[in-house]
Amino acid sequence: MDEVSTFLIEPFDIMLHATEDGVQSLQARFATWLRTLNAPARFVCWQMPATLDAKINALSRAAQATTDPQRAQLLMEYRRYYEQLDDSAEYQRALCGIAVWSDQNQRALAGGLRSAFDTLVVEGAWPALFTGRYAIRDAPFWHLAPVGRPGGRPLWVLLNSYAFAPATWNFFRPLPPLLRLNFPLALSIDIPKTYERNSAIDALEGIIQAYEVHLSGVRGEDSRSVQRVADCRKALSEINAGDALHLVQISIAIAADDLSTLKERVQAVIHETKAWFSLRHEVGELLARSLGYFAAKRTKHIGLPDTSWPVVSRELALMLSPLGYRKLSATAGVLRGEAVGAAYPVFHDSWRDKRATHEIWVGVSGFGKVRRTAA
Amino acid sequence: MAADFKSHVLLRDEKGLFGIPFKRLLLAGVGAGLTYTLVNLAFRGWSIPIAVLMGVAILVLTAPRGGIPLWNRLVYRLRGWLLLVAARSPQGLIAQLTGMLELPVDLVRLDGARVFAPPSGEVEIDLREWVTFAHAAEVDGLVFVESPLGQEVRHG
Repeated sequence: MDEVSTFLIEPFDIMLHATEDGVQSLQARFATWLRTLNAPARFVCWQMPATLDAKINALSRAAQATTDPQRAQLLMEYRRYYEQLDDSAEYQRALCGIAVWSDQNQRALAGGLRSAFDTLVVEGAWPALFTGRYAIRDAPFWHLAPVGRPGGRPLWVLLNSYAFAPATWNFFRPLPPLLRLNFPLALSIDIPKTYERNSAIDALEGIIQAYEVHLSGVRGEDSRSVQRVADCRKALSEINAGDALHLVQISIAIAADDLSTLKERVQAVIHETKAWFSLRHEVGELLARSLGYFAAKRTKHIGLPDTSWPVVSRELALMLSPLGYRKLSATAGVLRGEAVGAAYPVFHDSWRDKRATHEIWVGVSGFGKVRRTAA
Repeated sequence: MAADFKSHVLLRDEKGLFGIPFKRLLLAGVGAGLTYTLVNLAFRGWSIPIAVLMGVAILVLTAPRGGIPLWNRLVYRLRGWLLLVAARSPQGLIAQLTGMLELPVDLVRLDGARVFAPPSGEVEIDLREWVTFAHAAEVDGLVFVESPLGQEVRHG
């Protein structure tokens, strides 16, 4: 039986690729990796609350340690600025992970992921969605609540996708707006099966044949069947052009501190994604089982009813768009600017390995490169 | 940079009547027919109304809700309710029933450390990756040299 390998991926800033050619090449790179997938896989993005506390504490320690009064004053000014930033924002930290059930070597898999996604990929255990003990509650709606003292632990609701609308996806919609809702959530893209090329072609040809028999005998208009045949032919041409056919399911875990906020957030997420895919609020046993989508647990062991959707590699590549939204990354180094809709500070430590560094800052005119570099 | 998502290309969903797919109508018809045949053996006068009711019930219960047929969703909801009651009163009748049905009562109380435990074997080193350590086309084994740029000396 294939062993699971779990990897952690550091998200990058997709705005670095925000040209027509840039995002096209990004989609092609992601799709190329997905085409080679021949085992079940799962992509997860966690978005958790974060603060600048670590940075503020580091500045306080540095101010206390220094003997230079001018430096101490400067450090305290920086500290006040970070405290202002922290007070006026609700920062989130994003982290992505991939699990692959394969007998391939872990390091080889990590290397492949690193070259495909062009970002830091390390072998490692996934973070837990929650810590401590939780229990299922059915009132006023089905959710997971912490057992004993909450101690800051939130309530959780799980949603699973069951139908995808015929809509256009890109790297900026529909998943990134979910992350921009700016509350703690986790998103799982489960890929339980990737069809072998010939069996995918056989399956699609079988469907086309069945629909053609149906259409030849039907009286009147059956636009859904006509559209289904057109979709099957398009999928066939994409598979013949090198894509693979995958089964996909999206799961979203939403957290909040109280039930009314949780309900609002669930409605916000369902409403935000309605034009692209439909989400089902899990109840009863399905609620507990759905947690498996945020752990390295095989889909067949999770045991939910199959509501996966077939997509080709170029479509699935766009579902990995949360990789392009890093939000608050590491706070080590000097503040260099703001990222992701000018809502998140970007820190960079160019003195990390104690070597002289030359920096090149690339960006659109008028976004403050010269000022930032000179500062 | 974009992709147009398609309908479910692996699913047959031929047009039926009144927005109900043909396969559900077929199932309801077969179910009603079987009910009529069986009920007709015992209660001749009631067979037609019961068969019609059965057909309608099949149509309603097979309607998808959240991608799952309604009957399946109701079963999961009932199982969830049984699990909750069994967890609240472990000595009660419902708890005994869940025991008989072998329902997973542990799903009601979840421990984050167990649910999200890293997979076993995570830290094991796969020695297959070290096969290429030895010189190609030579015997496997450690290679010692007398000095940094010296000739290799083989052992074993």
